[in-house]
Amino acid sequence: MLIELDDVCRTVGLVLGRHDPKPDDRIQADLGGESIDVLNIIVTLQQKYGISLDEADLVNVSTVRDLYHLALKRSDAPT
Amino acid sequence: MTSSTDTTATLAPSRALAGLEHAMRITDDVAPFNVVMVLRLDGELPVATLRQALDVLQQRHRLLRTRILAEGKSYAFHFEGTPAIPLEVRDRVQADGWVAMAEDQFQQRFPLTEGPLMRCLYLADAQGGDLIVTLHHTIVDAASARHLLSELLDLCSGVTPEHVPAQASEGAVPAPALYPKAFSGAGYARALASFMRRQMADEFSFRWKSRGIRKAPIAATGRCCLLPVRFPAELTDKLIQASRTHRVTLNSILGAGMLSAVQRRLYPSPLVPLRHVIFADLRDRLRTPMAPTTLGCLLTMFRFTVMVPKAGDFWRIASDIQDATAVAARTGERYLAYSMSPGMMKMMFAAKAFRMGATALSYSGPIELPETSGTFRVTGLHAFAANMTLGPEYTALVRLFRGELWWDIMYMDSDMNETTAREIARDMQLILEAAC
Repeated sequence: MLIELDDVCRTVGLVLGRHDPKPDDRIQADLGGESIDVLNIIVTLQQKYGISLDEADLVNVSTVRDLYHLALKRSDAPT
Repeated sequence: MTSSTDTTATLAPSRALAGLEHAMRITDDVAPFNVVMVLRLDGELPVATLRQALDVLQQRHRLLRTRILAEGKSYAFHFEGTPAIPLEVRDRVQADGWVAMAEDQFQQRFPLTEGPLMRCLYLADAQGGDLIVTLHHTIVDAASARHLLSELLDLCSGVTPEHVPAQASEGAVPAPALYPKAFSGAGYARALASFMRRQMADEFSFRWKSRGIRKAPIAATGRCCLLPVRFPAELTDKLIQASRTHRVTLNSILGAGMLSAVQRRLYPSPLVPLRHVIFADLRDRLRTPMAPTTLGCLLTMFRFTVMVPKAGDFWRIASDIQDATAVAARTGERYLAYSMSPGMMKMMFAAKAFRMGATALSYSGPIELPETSGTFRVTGLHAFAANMTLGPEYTALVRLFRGELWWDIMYMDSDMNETTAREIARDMQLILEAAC
């Protein structure tokens, strides 16, 4: 499945119950995500795109865009 | 070295300790409240290089040039007039000799009124060394500690850490001044009333359910002992996968393992209410988020009761921890606990009638450090935070480092001996293996 930034934003918004998060919103600081929310976002993206996200990679994820880039890196999907 | 945006001229030369900083200073009168980190190194780190790196590090961080003075009934950071960061070098006699040396660091109080609030002990031999870095907890938390070590390693390998700006205004603003609007003024008062109601309900429930159950001893004195343990990569991977399958955070899973093992060894009743403490970060939750490259103690804690059965459903315990954490986070307990902590510590020390909890867990997540830095290689990373006789019985700082979970466990010798502490750690591993 093609990974698109808009779709990652939508997914993050659905999990966090937020309307229209922006790519540069920080998942915890701006969107109020707690660690369980981050876990739910990761699992949802894994299931949706059939990718595997390493725990160690997540240390560099702050914004929705960071998450999108990580998902892209971890997928074989064309960009 | 200072940045081009150095604003020290406009900064106040001192500021009062606030919230948890104040609580930690009060605690220091009972037991030195230090954080001890150990970098295990292979290869050569010349002492002159280390000395120079520490000097530059101190110039880059205002909180490393700080001391704490009493001001009336409170205390204040004073950002001037401190000597250089002490560095002691000794021969490394045994490979695991660093554990006893790190334990000693918990007995040695910082000269708080003179500063600085950091010191180093380097145990060196021909193969490498163990660098023991000790800081007073008022100026460091888990987030800033990892960046400080990374910066120190960069400086030791001759690299200027350009990605870490010099911290000219570090420590200038206390966390409560940056609380979000909902937790300032009238919002704070409302949230506080609600927090106090929940705390009292938890206290009554805990007392009622603990009737006839072992009470943790309160010793007059005790020594903080350390037990480093590592979970193999295979188990670590399984735990991460289980976290995603069950949709329970790793922090909650590890907490459930700790509580179950402590129940098994210390609380022989079939169903026991145990107090568990976890730690949360304030940095991202302030009106102006504070970067982890800025030193400071911006952590806070959540404390709640979990019912732990003798042979119960592990995943229910983990879910209970997660649910309690979610309630605490949603209701802004991070701000309230930070601000209320001095009062709580004063009450605890005055009463000497209860312990903070049975267990405490600080899970830092993945930690990245360069594997090689110039002439040496980092082979291990440990971190410990002081405990005391009124603190939790079994405490751990845990991190994911190079694919493995590194547990740095602390216990008081007045509570248990090393054999019991190891048995609890082994049980913890067995319980977690069985759960996933």
